[in-house]
Amino acid sequence: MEFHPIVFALIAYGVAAVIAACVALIVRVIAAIVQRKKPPADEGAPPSPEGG
Amino acid sequence: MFFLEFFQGLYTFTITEPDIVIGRLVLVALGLLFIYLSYKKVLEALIMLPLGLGMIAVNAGLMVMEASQVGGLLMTEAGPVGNLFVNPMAGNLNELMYFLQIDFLQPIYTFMFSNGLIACLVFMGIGAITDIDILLARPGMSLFLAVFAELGTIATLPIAMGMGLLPNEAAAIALVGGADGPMVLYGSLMMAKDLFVPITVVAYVYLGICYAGFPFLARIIPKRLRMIEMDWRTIPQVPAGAKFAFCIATFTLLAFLFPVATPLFASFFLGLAVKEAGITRFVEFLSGPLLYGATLFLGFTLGALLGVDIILNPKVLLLLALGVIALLLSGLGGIAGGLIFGKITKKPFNPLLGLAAVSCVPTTAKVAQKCALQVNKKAMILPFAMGPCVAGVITTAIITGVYISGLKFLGG
Repeated sequence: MEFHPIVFALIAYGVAAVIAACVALIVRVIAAIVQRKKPPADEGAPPSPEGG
Repeated sequence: MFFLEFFQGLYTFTITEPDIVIGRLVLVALGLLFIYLSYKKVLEALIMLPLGLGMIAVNAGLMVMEASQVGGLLMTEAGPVGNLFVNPMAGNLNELMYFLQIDFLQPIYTFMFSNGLIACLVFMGIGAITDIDILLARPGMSLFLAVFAELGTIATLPIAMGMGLLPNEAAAIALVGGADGPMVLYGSLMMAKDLFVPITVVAYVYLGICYAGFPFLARIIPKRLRMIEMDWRTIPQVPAGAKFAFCIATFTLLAFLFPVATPLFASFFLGLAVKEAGITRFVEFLSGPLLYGATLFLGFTLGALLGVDIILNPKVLLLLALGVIALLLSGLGGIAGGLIFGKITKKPFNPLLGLAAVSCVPTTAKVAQKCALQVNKKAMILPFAMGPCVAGVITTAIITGVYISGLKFLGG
């Protein structure tokens, strides 16, 4: 099967756009996982001996 | 006249055709110009200075070879004319072994160029110095702009075929629109080996000119939009673990999709992964000796490959025109993407970031920052510009993979 150059170029553009969206999705998923694993803020922790 | 035979570089002027003589002189002059512009920091000195020197060396230093030496650059009545640098046309094993022992750059060409290794080494170094924080903090924006900035890479393919290039040649020159030197080198080696020298030189020369030319293109954007300030303090911190996971996950996905371009992906993501894993000794090696060593030999060997036979190829003029078209369209695409994203988003957004998406890490990001500072001294957009800039490398790598693996659908 052979495509017209313009059709092939548009397909290539479409593929690039879809994979770019997948990469963005990967980033979102990783961010969500990291966010979930992050320990909650230690609000009730006693002050450190240095006072800082 | 026999006296001239002591000085073979000059003597070869008397035994070759006038077009060869003129071509050599033009290339020597061009080499001198590249060196001058590199010294003045108009062109990227890291690549263009060794390239210019290589061009002078190979075009001035032509000599009449012994009759036993076959495969010289040109055949004349006085014998084959060639040089002691490199012979990319060495065909069979005997010839290759001969030139490996005689031409001092032949080992570099044979073992690092013709298999794309040098492009991969440069990519490892680029990976090790690339900051992906903003790409991970703003993935939607970065990749949206990067896709728009690939307009030149996409549109130049049918234009080049319309102008008479073969599908593989058209795909290789279209990659100039991605503005990634190593990617163009690798892609042209994989797809159009006969034209890889002129295509790669066109790419590197134009990428050097980008720095001076893109600010003019940026003036299409209204001044009130170019001066928009973006608060870099709003960029969230990205944990090192997330960045490392991103490298591995994205590399794995791309390796499954485009095995033909995996050497490039692997090199880039290896550099990135090493950096994000905090292996400082590897980072120092990849981003220092390896990157700069590979860049030095890349420039010098490319220059030495730019002999007179290259410029006499009628396709070179076409490649020069197509290179400009590709980069211009990518720049316009990036700007269009920036303007559209500015309309979509509710946050303050400077459309110059679209120009940064023409990848060429980190040149186009610096150009975007320079253009913003010209109209507003407080507009600090460089931290944001690195996101689309790095995303541009990824989208260009994807399109390179699509072109290499999809050539058969174009009859290539």
